[in-house]
Amino acid sequence: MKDMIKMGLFLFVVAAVAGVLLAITEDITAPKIAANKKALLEQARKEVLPVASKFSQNEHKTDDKANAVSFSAGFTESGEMAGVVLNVYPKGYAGPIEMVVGLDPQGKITGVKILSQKETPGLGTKLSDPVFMEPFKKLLSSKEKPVFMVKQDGGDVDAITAATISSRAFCAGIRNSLDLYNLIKPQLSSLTPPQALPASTTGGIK
Amino acid sequence: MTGGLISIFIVAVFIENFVLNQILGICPFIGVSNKLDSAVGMGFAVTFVMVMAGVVTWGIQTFILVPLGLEYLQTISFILVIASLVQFVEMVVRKTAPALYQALGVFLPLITTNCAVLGAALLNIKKGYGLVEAAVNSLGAGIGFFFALILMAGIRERLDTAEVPSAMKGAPITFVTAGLLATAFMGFSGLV
Amino acid sequence: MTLMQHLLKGFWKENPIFVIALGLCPALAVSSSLVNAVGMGIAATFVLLGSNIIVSLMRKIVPKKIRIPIFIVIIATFVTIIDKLIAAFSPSLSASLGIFIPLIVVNCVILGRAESFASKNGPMDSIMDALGMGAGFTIALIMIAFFRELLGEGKLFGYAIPFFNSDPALIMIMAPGGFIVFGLLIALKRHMEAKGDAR
Repeated sequence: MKDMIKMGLFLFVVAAVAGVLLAITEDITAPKIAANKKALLEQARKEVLPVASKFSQNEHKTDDKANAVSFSAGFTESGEMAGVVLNVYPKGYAGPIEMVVGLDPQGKITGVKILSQKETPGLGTKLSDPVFMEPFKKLLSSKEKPVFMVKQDGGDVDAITAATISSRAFCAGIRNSLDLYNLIKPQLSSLTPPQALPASTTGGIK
Repeated sequence: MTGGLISIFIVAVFIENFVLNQILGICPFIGVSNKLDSAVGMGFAVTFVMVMAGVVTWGIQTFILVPLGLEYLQTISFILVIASLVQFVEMVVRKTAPALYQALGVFLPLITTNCAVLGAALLNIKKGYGLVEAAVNSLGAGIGFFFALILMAGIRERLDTAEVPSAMKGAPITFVTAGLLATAFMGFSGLV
Repeated sequence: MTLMQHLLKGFWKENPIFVIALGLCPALAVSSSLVNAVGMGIAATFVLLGSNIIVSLMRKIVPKKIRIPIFIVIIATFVTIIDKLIAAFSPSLSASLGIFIPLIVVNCVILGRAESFASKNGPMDSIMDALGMGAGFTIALIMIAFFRELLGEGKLFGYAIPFFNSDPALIMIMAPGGFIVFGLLIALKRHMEAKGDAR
């Protein structure tokens, strides 16, 4: 019995020391990890909506709370409405593709970035490569109202060879972002640019 | 809801098969797949522990770690839970079902260091599953492991009688075979 | 054995991956690129070094019956520390290694060394053992990753290699490639040793 208590105590002490060590590590690294996440998000927003310099996080209010759309609104340096950034998750070949899409106030697409995907390496993953992105950007700038479907389906988008499903998913994501844009459009004029960066967004590093 | 659960299950068993696609639990996969009956025993034991561990760790994450802001203790608490769970299961099975213990007993201690069990628990949390989804995903992962193990055991029993170059005998040919099996499983992607 | 021998045995003769066949999951799962292989090798070596030192220092006071849970707590602590450090200082590495960092906890190499070496030897020997085994683990990962990245993507450390990058065999960076390259490498090692013995 005495042995049991001794062993229990020993285990407890070891676990307590471990807990304290981990708490210290967490304290040191947590702000940095949060800052990394934020920087990544910020970079993605700037990439898809280059004219904007400030962003505010918004929620589109609908009666249907479960389907509330959250989006970031971008503003120029002088505080003018520059467009919105939306996240969409179309279903790809092997799971959802996480995409961010930037749209200007006229509802025209300004940029697309793929954040994460599980498509077949070398085929579906080409979605994020210039091979696919460059022609897509050219399409955006050359045509007034492109049809966002792959060419096989009668659209304007060149599908990736041997990865039609991934390409279709990409197009579905774009169409989805346009639908969401139309949904939140009436709300846009009422939005105001964020005030000078609040202290909390700097990640707590002083 | 049920449709979602069925798809989680199918994905876990076939598309993201723990052994052949995610490459988890390789040590027991190679170590215990030389005989069909031990493969069956190990498969059952892992599936059983995996589901229990999936449910318990989900509870710990949701009701203890997150409310207290102690997510950084995730790894340490999960592995301790799995280790004690294995001990507990071993004790219960020995007391209540000696026949089952005879069959599974030797495999139980090995499960603590089976990365598939911890892997399933961590993936449940990472994918943001609810309790039922977590249980289904763990069950699928276990059955997927079971499935890969018996397939491999079946092939290896035949391989024993095949003529293999001496340098390739044993482990090398087993890994190459596993590679071919994994290639076959790639055909399942795009199923859901 | 001298300190040097403790260090060197892990490189090849008792290589944890190729000879003892421990810690295979990370060896196969994250060896699709050299960057991942080096990252995982360093992370595992850090944990191995930390746990070997602590286990060795505590070897006389740890009660025999509960040594395994104690070892696991020690290992898990180091794993969490390195996990957080990688997430803080190299988010991209953290994203590509994913759950394989927390899974270092169940890497049998580390528990195996704690149990079979550090709990019986002094700290200096244990440090050398950890460095040697860690290096052996890393070397094995790099060898597998070298072939997989070269054949599967036509690249090494992310830089395109002429000829190989014209039409790479994608399957090599996917799961099957890991199994096949690993199987062939063990066969090669055996073949070389068999030849050496015959001479």
